[in-house]
Amino acid sequence: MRGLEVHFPIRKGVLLERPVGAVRAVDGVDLDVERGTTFGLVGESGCGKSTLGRAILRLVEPTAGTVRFDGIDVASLRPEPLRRLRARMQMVFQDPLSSLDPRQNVESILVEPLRTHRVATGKDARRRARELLDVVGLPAAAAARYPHEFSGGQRQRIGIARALALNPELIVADEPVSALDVSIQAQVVNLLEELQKEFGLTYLVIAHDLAVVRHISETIGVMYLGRIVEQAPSDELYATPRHPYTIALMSAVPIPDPEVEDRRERILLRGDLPSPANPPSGCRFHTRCPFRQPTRCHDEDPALRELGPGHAVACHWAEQVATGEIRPHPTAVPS
Amino acid sequence: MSIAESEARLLSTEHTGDIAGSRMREAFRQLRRNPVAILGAALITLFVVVAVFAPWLAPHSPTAGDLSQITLSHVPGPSAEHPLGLDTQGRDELSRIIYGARASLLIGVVSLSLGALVGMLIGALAGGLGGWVDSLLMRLMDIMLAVPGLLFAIAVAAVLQPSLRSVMIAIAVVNVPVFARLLRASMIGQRHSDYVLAARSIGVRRWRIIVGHVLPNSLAPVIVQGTLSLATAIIDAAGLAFLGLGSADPSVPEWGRMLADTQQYLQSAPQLALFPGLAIVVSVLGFNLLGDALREALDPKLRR
Ligand SMILES: Nc1ncnc2c1ncn2[C@@H]1O[C@H](COP(=O)(O)OP(=O)(O)O)[C@@H](O)[C@H]1O
Ligand code: SF4
Ligand SMILES: [Mg+2]
Repeated sequence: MRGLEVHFPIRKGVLLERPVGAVRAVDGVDLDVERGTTFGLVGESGCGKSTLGRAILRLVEPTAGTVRFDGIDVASLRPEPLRRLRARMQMVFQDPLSSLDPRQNVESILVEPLRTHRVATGKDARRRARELLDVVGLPAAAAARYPHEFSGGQRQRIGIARALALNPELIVADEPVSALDVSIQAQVVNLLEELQKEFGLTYLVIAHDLAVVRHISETIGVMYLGRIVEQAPSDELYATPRHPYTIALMSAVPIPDPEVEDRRERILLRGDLPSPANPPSGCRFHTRCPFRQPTRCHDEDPALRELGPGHAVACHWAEQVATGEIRPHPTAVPS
Repeated sequence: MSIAESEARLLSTEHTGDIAGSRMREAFRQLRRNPVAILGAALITLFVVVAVFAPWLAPHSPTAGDLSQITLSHVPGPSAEHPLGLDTQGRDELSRIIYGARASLLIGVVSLSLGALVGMLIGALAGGLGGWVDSLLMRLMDIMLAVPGLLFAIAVAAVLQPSLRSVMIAIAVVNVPVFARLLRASMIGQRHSDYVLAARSIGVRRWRIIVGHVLPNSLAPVIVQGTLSLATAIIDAAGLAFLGLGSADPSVPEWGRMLADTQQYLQSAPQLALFPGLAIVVSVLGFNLLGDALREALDPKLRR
């Protein structure tokens, strides 16, 4: 994926709508997901994660940029080839209930993709539906039931079964567990992991907190206001976060060791996410950055630079922040 | 989106228990427990049975009368022979009320079906296709809505010559924009839902998504509106008949006209205004009660 941008026009007008501006939901994102691996995409709510995920599957039209899937340019595909390609890339949704048609029973939900792509019909399709239920750990009896009869975790399993129906290669999972009880989040994450091993799936897993994607991702990208601000192998990102935004996010994740937990600094971000319709000049994070410097930050847009192998950061002062030369402003460090 | 999401989440915690059957069946079950719905359904049943079986239920002819007993100052009241008395033409009032249900039901059902059908077709086109088709159709509906309903019906009935058919067409036309806008709004609400996105991500063709997912999930408010609109159609039909814009044949019993015909006899025979008035109120009430109960049963937001 290269230079991907999704701008939603802001329209005004009574009779004829005319664009008066754009919500730059995703604004120039490059990312690569290697086959068979998991890319974790993290960022605050509203930063453009869902839009990015949908643009990759072309469920929203990208304004600019290219998406390549197995060498195929997804962004410029004509409707019919795109429809056929959909069998190879699927999506798991944040809210399992609203992503299932309330009038369809589970069997009909699972048969629909098979019938749409003429993979199986009639009896074969129904047998495959039961197979899929088994794969995601639901009893065959679930087939005749309706979405509202299940718990949140079970519904997400139905959503996953539907995504698996066509043997896809890529699955974009948009906050697959954030709508679920904490107690069953781990079960669903484990299921996703097992399925990846069994079917060699490639994942793009979206989450709004780092804890969810940590264990299942090889690479993590941190998103802020439509941009990737830091990207690194999962372990490295946790050990040595470089971008001030990532550092702030990490400081909010509790550490199991109480001694470390007591000593460490908590960096709280103040203020709200600025509007993507009118992003701040220079570094987009400068309005909230605890490390903000008087020069460059407010007038120069930092590029995503490679600091180490596979570790890229979009901050002018990343090196100085890393060495401790620049300290967070005291006002941003209560306690 | 976030409202829909939190709403759905709220629902998901509400319905975590094992409820058998589809959502429709669940709504139906709730209806059966609701006394308002039962009363509404009972009144509607009474109305329909009376209309359908009028020839068997009516004790006398609704059109043949005996004028000899009638004067401007005296109209015979209820008696054993005529439970509701005679009307100003000496006809049995009860039989006319019973036959009057036929005109009401006929006008209500035909005009509403016609109006709802055309309206839903327009609404489905607008809501399903969007874009300029939507803009054009909806501006057209706005214009139709800007004209007051009954006034419009009067104009139509007047232009087309007074007859039951004109009344039905007039009321149907009035209903078109109501159903068009309702179905469109409902479909647009569904079109942005996650399950439509899910269907797209599977590669389901657009028309299949519209017909197979969006449309069926958009019908609940239309069913509710249909029930409530039947009540309005009955009132409108009575209003038109009252103004002399109903059936061309004055001997056909219509509740609205029966009200109008008694104007000079209000002093001597007030019961002649009371009975058709009551008949209108009871039938309208039935549809309104059932409509409200249906709305409650089908709309999870109103559920307690
Ligand atoms: N269809 C749309 N039209 C206009 N703005 C949108 C649309 N979808 C999302 N947005 C805006 O784009 C931004 C990013 O949204 P989203 O991708 O859903 O973020 P996230 O998934 O990270 O919470 C938000 O400001 C949101 O309001
Ligand atoms: S460039 Fe400046 S404002 Fe932006 S993250 Fe780095 S230090 Fe903060
Ligand atoms: Mg999102």
